[in-house]
Amino acid sequence: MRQYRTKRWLTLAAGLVAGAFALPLPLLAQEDEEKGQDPPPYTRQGADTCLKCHEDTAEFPVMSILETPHAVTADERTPFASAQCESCHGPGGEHGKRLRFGQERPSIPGFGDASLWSVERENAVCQGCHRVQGHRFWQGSAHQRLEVGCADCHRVHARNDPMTVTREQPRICLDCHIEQRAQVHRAYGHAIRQGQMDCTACHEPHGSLTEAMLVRPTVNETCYQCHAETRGPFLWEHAPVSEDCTLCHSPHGSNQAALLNRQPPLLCQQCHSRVGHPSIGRSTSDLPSGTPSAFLLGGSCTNCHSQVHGSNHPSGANLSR
Amino acid sequence: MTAGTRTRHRLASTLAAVTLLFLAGPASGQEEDGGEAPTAMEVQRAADQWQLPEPDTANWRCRNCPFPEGWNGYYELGAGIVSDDSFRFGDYRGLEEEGFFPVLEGEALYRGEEGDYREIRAEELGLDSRSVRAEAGRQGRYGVWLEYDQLPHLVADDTRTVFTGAGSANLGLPGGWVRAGTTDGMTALDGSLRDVDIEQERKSLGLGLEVLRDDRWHYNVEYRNDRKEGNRVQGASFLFRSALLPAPVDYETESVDASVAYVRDRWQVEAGFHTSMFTNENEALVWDNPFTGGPGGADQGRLALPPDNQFNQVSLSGSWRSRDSLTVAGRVAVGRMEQNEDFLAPTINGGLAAPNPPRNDLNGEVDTRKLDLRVTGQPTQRLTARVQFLHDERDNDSPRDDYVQVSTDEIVSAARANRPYSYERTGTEATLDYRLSQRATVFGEVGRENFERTLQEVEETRTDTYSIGVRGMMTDRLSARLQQIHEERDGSYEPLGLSGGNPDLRKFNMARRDRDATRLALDYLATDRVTLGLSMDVAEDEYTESDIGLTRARDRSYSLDLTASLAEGVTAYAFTSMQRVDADILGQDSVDGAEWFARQDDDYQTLGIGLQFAYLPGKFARGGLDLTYSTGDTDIRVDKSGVGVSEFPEVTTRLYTLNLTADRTLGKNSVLRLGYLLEGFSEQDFQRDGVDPDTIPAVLTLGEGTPGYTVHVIQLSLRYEF
Repeated sequence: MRQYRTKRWLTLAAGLVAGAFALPLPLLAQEDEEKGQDPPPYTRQGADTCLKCHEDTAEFPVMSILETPHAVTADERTPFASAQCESCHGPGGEHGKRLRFGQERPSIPGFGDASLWSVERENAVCQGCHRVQGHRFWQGSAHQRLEVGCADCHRVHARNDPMTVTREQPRICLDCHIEQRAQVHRAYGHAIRQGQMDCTACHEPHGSLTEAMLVRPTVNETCYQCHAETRGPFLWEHAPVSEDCTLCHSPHGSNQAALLNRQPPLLCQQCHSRVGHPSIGRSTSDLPSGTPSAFLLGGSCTNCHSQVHGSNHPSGANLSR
Repeated sequence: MTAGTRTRHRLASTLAAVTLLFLAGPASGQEEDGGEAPTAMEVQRAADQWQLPEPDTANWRCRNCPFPEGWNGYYELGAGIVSDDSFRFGDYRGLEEEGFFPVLEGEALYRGEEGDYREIRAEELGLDSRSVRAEAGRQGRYGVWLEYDQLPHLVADDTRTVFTGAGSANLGLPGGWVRAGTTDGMTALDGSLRDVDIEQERKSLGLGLEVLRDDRWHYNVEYRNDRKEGNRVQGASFLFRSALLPAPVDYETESVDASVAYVRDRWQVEAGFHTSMFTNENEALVWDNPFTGGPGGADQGRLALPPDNQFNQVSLSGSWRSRDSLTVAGRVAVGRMEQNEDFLAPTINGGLAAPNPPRNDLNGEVDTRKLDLRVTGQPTQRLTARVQFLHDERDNDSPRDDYVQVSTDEIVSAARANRPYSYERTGTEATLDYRLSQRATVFGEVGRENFERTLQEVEETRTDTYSIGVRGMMTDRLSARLQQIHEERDGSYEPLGLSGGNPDLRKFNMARRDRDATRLALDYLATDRVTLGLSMDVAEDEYTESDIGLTRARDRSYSLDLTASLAEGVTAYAFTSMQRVDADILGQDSVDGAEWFARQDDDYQTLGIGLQFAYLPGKFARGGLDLTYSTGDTDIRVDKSGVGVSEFPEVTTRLYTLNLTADRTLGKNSVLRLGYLLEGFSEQDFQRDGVDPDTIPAVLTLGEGTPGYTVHVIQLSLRYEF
């Protein structure tokens, strides 16, 4: 019955989405219309014009950008080495001009929520400079396809961009990655919840060619950055371990110790069913209230087969040495 | 209803939706005139073409710009108090002990007129989780940094062991120890138990240098040294008797990453080198046998600890962007893992005669080759296409030999040949994004992956993936994303024929599998101040030919989000998430024995609410409140032929965290910071609860139980900005 309810729900959702998309809708800002038109004028005095209004006590304070690398004039790559505020926001002559009584001040493109520009156009401004190394795989990445804006994550005017601060960064990522947000609050996990590990320890949000935008070429190489003791190669290998750590571990958090996907011995019995103790289905009679079983309690299978990541002992074929 | 039927229904639903979208056509006739917002590629071109005239900056003095001069930054001094001892609460925090702790952190930054800078940041200096980073250089030219980071990992402090030398590589039994066949006969046990904490501490030191030349050449080199010291729980057995030991952890990993990149406007290329060397100070763990009755009469056992190993990798990557819409990005990485630590003797038991291993060391060599290539293009204004290719190879060249096995230092048994594992994974994925209207994009993905393995039950699996979906703005206030995924994995399973192996077993990572997944995300701007979000992610795996092993798995998660701007400078959020993960596992006590069916259900609930104040009344500058509550419930049920149904006690975890902060302005540059942290945790786990060192007759455990705590932390500090 539950399956039928799920199916009906999905059908309804699909229909709703389809119907709503099919409605004729007004267009958003017509950026293309700007093409071919004369560009608006720049201000007469650059940042001095802007800061007449945008001082620290104003509605839109901007001063803190002067404490950031973007305002280092000696570095000719920076916005303040060229058109200052207007390097990113575009010519502000119209926005900064003296107004007639009752005249509404023309907007100037900001970044982020309620921006005049599309995300792509905003990003193009940032990528005019930030196109090297870490950003070189942006095009075609999941974040690019889903139109994530640079300003959705970065605070360019802040002295310390929260994305670069380990204890603040996860909050930003987890605003969108809500499944992972729930997982990092589970009982067993990496040190993300405690503010000691950030998402970019494993992921490259600007785009990577590896699955899940990982920082290293493979899943396991990413894990080996901190867990090189499991790398081997071992004399006696445990094939799934060498293949993919996530076959047994949930890196974002778990209800089981060691971030395991399932509770042993079931974790192991998914793949092991040799005659003898590996194949035996455990029952509640194996609990301390019955006949406490070495195959269920304590470390379960790892009470004996403790070398689950591999063994280099000549007699370690069954991963117990 | 079969899985296939369900799949077809879901696909049909989604296809209907997508068809409707196509039929609906462009949202406005204006789009036909080319008036729609630019796509990513278009904007890329627009950015290039966006030829604004250079401003006349002759009069742009920036006189009103208060550029920082000399050193500036802040330091924060204070103290906090922890209400209770709790090892588990201190995990990753360093706040495991009741009492006062110092608050000490700060930041200092210097910027010179020529772009030179110095920066020092320090956090949690008074705790074991401290970190310091110092950086200096000239912006746009070069930079050098030094970093130190410390992290405690506290596992358990209720653990007890009878072994002397806990945490070392030699574990002995105390004087007067009485060996026995089972733990209940170890009459000296109670008097011999000593407390031992299970914990590790990681200390990382990093050093890096970055040099830029002509804005085209980028040089980067980074060295890291990670030390991890402490102990861990390790099972150590003599046939069917075992002891859980506090095994030593004394690891060192040194790594170097170096790269040189050449960057032009439309293309760039980077050559990189990565090396990682792992060293373990202990090659083996030796322990005295607390049991009697083994057939080999072993007094001691010895197991191998993780061997020294190293990994070297070179890579070449780059990207190229054409003047119109084509982007090509790729990377090739070739590496080698090596391990040649001397083998231990087959047994430490001098009473057994076992031949030496055929080699002195493994001379292990695994070559890794990874190629990734992605081509993104925009054939038409509405259509964006992406093709991605990967080749991932693990080629294990380690020699293969026969090794006589001395089973747990007790029995000399038959020789076994090692099985150096290699695999080769090749995949191609194509994605199309078609912009139906300015607001809606329909997309589809197809992919195929071939996975070849050596010395495994399946020589080759082939996985085909199909996906369709839509995303975009449904109305001015509602955005949506819906995706349906279907995946089929195929392969011929040939049991390895190992003695006693059940021929019906199918290992889940290579068994035939059908997967269906649906993803839905809605974001609704209810008012200008309130946003609602809803998401759903459902996946179901059917292992269609598995009679033994994992046969079915389902993962369903749902989330609801609310964010609100309550007033100027006051924002609030609330969220709740639910995830349920089910797994069905079939087994058989032996090839012809009793069949059993097990189901594990993991239920997770997470709740969070928070308030952030940018302004507070009076002299309070800002404040915040965050509360999260997370529960995990694992239900395990085993239904066994001839035995009946066993419902295991629920494995539960409960974790709540309340964090309150408030800043009070004392003067122009000083702020008094108040912080309150409350965290509570409880856990129930039948594998640990009530399991004392002698509870299991065949296993001498450390008596580790489940932790539980309620801890308050109050912190008061003065932050001074200079």
